[in-house]
Amino acid sequence: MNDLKKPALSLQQKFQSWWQTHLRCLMASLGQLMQSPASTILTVAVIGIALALPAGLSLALNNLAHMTGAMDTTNTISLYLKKELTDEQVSQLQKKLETNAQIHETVFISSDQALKEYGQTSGQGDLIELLGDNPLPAVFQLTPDKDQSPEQLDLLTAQLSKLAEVDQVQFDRQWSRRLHSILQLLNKFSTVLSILLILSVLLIIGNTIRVGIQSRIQEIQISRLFGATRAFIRRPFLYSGLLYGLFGGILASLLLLISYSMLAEPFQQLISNYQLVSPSQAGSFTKYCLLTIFGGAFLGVISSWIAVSLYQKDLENSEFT
Amino acid sequence: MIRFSEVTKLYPGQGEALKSLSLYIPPEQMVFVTGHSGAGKSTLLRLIALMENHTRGQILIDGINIQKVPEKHRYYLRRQIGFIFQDHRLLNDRTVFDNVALPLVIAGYDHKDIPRRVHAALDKVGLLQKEKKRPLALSSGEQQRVGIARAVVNRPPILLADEPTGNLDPKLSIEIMRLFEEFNSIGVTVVIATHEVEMAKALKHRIIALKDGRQINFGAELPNE
Repeated sequence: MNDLKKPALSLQQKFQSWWQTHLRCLMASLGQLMQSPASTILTVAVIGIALALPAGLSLALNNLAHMTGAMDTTNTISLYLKKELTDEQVSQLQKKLETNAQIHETVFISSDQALKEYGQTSGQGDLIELLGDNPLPAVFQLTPDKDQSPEQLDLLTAQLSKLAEVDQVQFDRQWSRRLHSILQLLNKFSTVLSILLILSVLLIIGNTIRVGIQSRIQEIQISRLFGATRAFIRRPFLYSGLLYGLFGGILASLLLLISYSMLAEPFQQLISNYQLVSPSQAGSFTKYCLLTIFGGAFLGVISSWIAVSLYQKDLENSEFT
Repeated sequence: MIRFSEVTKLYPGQGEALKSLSLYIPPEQMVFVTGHSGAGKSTLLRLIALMENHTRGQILIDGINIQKVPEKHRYYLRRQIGFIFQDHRLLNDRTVFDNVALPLVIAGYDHKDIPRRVHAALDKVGLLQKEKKRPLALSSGEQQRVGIARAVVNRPPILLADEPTGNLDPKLSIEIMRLFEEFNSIGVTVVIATHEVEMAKALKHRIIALKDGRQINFGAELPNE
C-alpha cells in the first residue's frame, strides 16, 4: 500500500495518456449530447439560426459592397463640348485629358459619330436625316482611374466643368452614393445585429452548459473528492460547448447554402438586367461557411469556459453536500 | 498521520459541530469514531477529507497544514484519501467498472493500466463478475462494496468511511469490516465513523468517542502524542 504514486511514464506514454483522456472526454461529451437528442437538436437549431443570420447578412452586404465598388470603377464621365470648337481645340483638349493622372481612359465621339450611333440604336435614322443640321455635340467619355475616392471624383468633375471647351459635364453618381449610404447603414445594423446574436449564442450555450453542470453535480463533487483538478472538471463541459457550437455552425452553413441556392438564380438575373458586376460568390461563400463553423466552435468553447468558471468559483467557495 | 489541534467547526446558524477537538491518528492505525447522531463524527471525517474547512484550530495531514493549501492545490492531498459514504454516492449512469475506474482516470493513469487495477479492486471486494452492471442493478451491500473498491483502487494511504455499514445487515457489516481490516493490515490508515459501538468494541481497535463535538473517552487507548 506504500506504492502511492503513479508509475513513472515516458514522454510518449504521457502524450498517449493525454490524447486518450481527451478523446475519451470528447466521446463522453458526444454521448451526453446523444442521450437527450430532442433537447440537443433544439439547442443546435437555435444556435444555427442565430449564427446563420449575421453570417448571411454579412455575406450579402459584402457582395453588395463588392458590386457597388465595381460600379464606381465602371462609371464614365461624359464631357459635352461646345459646338463652336475647332478640330485643333478638340485635339489640344484631348491631349490635356490624356495626360491627367486621374483619368484612366479617354474616348472621343464626334458629333457625326454620335448622330450615327443614335440613329442606329434608336432606329430613327430617316427622321434624323430630315433634321438637316446635327443637333448632337461632340463628347469625351472619360474613365476615371479606379483608385479614385468619391471625393476625388467630385473634385475632378468640378475641375472638368470649368474647362472653357466644355459645355456640360455629366457624371451621375447620385444613386450610387445613396446605395453607398444605405450599405453603410446596413453594415452598422449588421454589426449591431451580429453582436446581439453572438451574445445570444454565448448565453444559449452558457445556459445549456449550466444546466448540464447542475445535472452532473454529484459527479463533479465525487470527482473533486477523489482529487480531480479544475481542468479535469472543466474539460467535458468545454467539449460539450465545442460540439454545440460546431454543430450550430454546420447547421448555419447549411442554412446559408440553402438560401444561396434559392437566391442564386434571381440574383444573377438582377445582375444581368442592370449590367452589374457579379461578385466572386464561390470563394466568398466557402470562406463564410468555414468562418461560421469555426466561429461557432470557438463561441461554444468560450461560453462554456465562462459558464464553468463561474460555477467552479461557486463550487469551490461552497462545501460538499 | 492525522493531527487535530484545538479544531472547531462552526456551521452558521447551527452551532459548533466540533469544539476545540484535539486528536492524533498515527499512520497505519485503524480507528472507529463513535457517537450519537450530531456528535460530530461525519464532520470529523469531512474535515480530514478536505470536503469542508474548519473554523478554528489546525489540522495536519502527513505533516501538511491543510489550511495553508489553496483550493486549487488540494487535489493532490485528496488523491491520498479514499472516502466511503453511507449512501454509496455511485454514478448510476455508469457501469461498476467506470465507477471504480474514476479515481484512476482522475489521477491520469495510463489507460492500459486502468483495467488491471480496477479488476484487482473489484476482485478484492468480490464483484469482478459484476463490472458491467449499473449500480442500480446491485443490492445495497454490493453497492457499498463498489464504493469501497472505488475508494481503494488508487491505493490511498488514508481510508475514511462514514457509516459504511449503516444500511447493511449484521452479517454483511462484519464482512465489510473484515475488508477494512485487510486494508489496514497492508498499511492503510482507516478511520470509520459509526454509531454501532458494540461492533466497534468487538473488533478491538482504537475508539474515539465523540459527544457534542468533543472527545469523551480520554484514557489508556489514546496514544501518546
